[in-house]
Amino acid sequence: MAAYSRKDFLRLTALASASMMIPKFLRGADLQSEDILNQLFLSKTNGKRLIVVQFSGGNDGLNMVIPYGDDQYHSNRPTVGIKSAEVLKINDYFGFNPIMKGVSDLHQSGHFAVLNAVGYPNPNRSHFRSMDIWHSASDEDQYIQTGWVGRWLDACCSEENARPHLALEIDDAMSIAIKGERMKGIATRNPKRMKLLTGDPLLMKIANDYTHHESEHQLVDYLHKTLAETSQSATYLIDKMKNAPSKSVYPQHAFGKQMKVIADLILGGSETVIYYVSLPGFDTHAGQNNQQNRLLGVYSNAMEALAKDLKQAGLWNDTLVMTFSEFGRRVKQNASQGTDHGTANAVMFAGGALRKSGVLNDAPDLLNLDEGDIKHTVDFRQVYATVLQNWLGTDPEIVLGRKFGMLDFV
Amino acid sequence: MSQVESVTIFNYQTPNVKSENGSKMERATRISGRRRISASLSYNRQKIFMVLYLEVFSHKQTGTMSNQGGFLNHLLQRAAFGVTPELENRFARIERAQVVDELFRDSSVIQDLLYLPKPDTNDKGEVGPVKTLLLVIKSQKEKDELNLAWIDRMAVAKAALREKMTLFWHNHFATGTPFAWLMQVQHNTLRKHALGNFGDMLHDISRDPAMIAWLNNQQNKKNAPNENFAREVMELFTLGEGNGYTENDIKEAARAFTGWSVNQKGEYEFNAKQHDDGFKTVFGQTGNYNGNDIIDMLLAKRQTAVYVCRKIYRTFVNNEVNENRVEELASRFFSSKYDIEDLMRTIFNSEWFYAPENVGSIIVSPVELIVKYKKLCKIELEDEQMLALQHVLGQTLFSPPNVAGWKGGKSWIDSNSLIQRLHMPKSVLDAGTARLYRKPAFEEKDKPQKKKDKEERVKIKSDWTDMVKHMKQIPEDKITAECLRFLLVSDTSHINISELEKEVDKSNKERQIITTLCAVMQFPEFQLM
Repeated sequence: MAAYSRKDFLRLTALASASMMIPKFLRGADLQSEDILNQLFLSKTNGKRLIVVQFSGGNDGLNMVIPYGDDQYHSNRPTVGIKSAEVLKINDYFGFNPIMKGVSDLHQSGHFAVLNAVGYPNPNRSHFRSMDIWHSASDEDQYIQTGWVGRWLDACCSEENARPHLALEIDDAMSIAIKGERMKGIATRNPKRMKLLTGDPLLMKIANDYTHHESEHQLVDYLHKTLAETSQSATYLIDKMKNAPSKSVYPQHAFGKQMKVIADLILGGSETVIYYVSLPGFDTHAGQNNQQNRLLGVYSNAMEALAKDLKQAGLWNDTLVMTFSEFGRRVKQNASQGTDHGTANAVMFAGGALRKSGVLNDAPDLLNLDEGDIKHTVDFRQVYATVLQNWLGTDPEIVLGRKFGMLDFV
Repeated sequence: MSQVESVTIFNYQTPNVKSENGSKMERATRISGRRRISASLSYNRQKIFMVLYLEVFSHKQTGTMSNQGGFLNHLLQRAAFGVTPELENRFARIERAQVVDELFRDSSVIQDLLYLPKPDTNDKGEVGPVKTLLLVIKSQKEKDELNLAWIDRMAVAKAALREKMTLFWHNHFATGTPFAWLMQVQHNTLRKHALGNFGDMLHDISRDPAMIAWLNNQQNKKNAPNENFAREVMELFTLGEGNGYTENDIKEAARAFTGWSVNQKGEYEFNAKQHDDGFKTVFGQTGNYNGNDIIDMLLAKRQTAVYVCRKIYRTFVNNEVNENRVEELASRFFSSKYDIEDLMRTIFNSEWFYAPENVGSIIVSPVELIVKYKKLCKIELEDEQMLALQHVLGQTLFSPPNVAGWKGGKSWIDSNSLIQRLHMPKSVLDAGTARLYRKPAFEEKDKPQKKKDKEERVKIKSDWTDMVKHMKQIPEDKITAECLRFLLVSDTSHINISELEKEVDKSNKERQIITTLCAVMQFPEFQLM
């Protein structure tokens, strides 16, 4: 279903060079043909959206989704562990960190799920390297310089109909995650900041004047084309931000602001399919509980606000939130009331249309560890594949490079 | 074991710096010291300038170039950090071959960048995980300072070509270990060999402590700590992926590198007890090879010359590779036994280097762009913003995304970085812009949020004196043309002059010059070199 009306299109093309967005065979045709083009493109996506939340620093999943029913958990974490009586119960074995009231409520409504022990073979415990691996969906010994979301954009966008705002990272700098071979998404902390472009008459004139000249050096053409696309996306996003600002209260935190931007865009009718946002600070080598609790509280409150906004607008069922971290942490606590870098970790899902909620698979085996770390039972590429195929309707093999086994949470 | 604990640690203390303020002053003195030197240089040049001005301005630039700039602008973009009034005056009536010569002569002296003082080392005792973490965070701060020191160096260095080559090798042997002192050591190793011998450089870098630490960090394989180095050295530093080595070659080569480690002082040390001195079969040959032998074998393969020349071509000639040229260059590079200076001289002295298809065919990298601004108008930002700017543009010195380095070319350009690039001239004119934010380091704690929500503005300082002086004598109606000629190498026929001139403030000559320069710099063509 097009989230993008004819009126919107007219407005956009008044501002931007129409010839840029239409392939040659449709150029000069009437607006009905442009609607056809819309359909051609939108048939590659299906009206669903994904929000990827990245916990940066290596979040301690064991203190977030707590296997309070496992003696190993308590014996390994005499002071850092959370007491069984305090957890927000999911079932007889698991419970959420007590600060995550919002998340627990979502779970009660059947809108939250947890997948345990997600990782990959030969896990890497370096922040940079492991985050690279999650972003690029590579094997541990491959160095790929594109990201899975960027490659999704490659698969869904044609050169003529480039809409980089379909993949949107809410940050000043772009992660590899949204850089594809041909296409890149957009990174902006707030679309309003893109007024640096749309509010500049000279830049907008250069952007709007763009037509492809065969004689022109291909790099000049590339820069002008990127500028034209960016100005269109910027205009589009700034416009969508205004339509229906969210009403929920988001936490007073950078992450809260970023989630609010996402909410505003979704409520405003943006056609963005994949949103990407990160919450840093999870590298809890020392004094873990205070730090992690605070961050999980911010996350939980933001999720609560987001769900409320989207439910009210009837958009929660089309939304899936996937939350991950580049690795988990070691089972045994260290000498500084913290934990050190580990391996496999929980991935969490939220949304109105989950096929299953609660804990989706077996608990991590805390007895049979790999030198003190959890062994993965799910490859994270399976998670991506499932989201790509079942939720977004894209062939995962194009994006991930090979086949991965599917899961069934969505 | 945590990742941080598994690296060999030495005790790292910065001597004589007792406080935050202390270290800031130390840097400020160094920086202003450098500034004083460059100020006196431009004063001397002023005299020569007046004499040469008319010659420079009336010098008709035609020929095979698609812009009016002749060869000089193009050459200086590639072999230095762009054209400046000083360089233009200096090379005004000099033949191309001689300009090339002088650029190499300028780079003949190797001057280390010794910004960070050597840490006190302590052989005894181990650093615990928390202290190690603090060490890493502190080192990040010092890495940041080293970053800024190098940018400052690039902005004023006479040995511009050597600095550019060092930047190239930094990307080739892309290392981003958080230990700042080790990064500085590696940095100077790269500069030492930058125009020297690639074989010598490869040998030295294979023993470089930062490289050893970096790959251990990256890999964290407990049983084969150097298999990753063996892979990297083939895949990324010499042959290139899939070009004449097998998994078995890597495994066996890894054995040859065992024992190559770093001691508690942060120096390379060969640990004989850890070395596997058995027989290995690599590239079809068997012997009890050590790491040196493997490196020599890699250098003996012509493919190494091809791979390196292709990267050099992409960085210095054209983002699009011409395989025939690469082969030509590789043959020469190989038979010269990897003489880098000879390779670069060959490039800069070749006719094809100056052909129109190679002019304006490279997207300026973020660091080069920042250095260009420093050279044109001496911009100054607060340190944090200078780092955030690199971050937003996609290239932070000493922090490559991974050991494969920065991809370069079109990958520098995305919606956000393009907006940033095109907005920069305005922010310089406005003497300020909205604050940029870096993603915090992975190890950083969450900071409490300020209550105020307003977009924070940061100040930008600039000094256009040199450019204004350079253009003062040019008639008002010729200023736009001169700015286009000076700043752009690309074909300017598609530039909308009337739109450009709407941005010009003609209230006085100086304003006209500055606003015209900034308007030209807003055009996408300014992002090309």
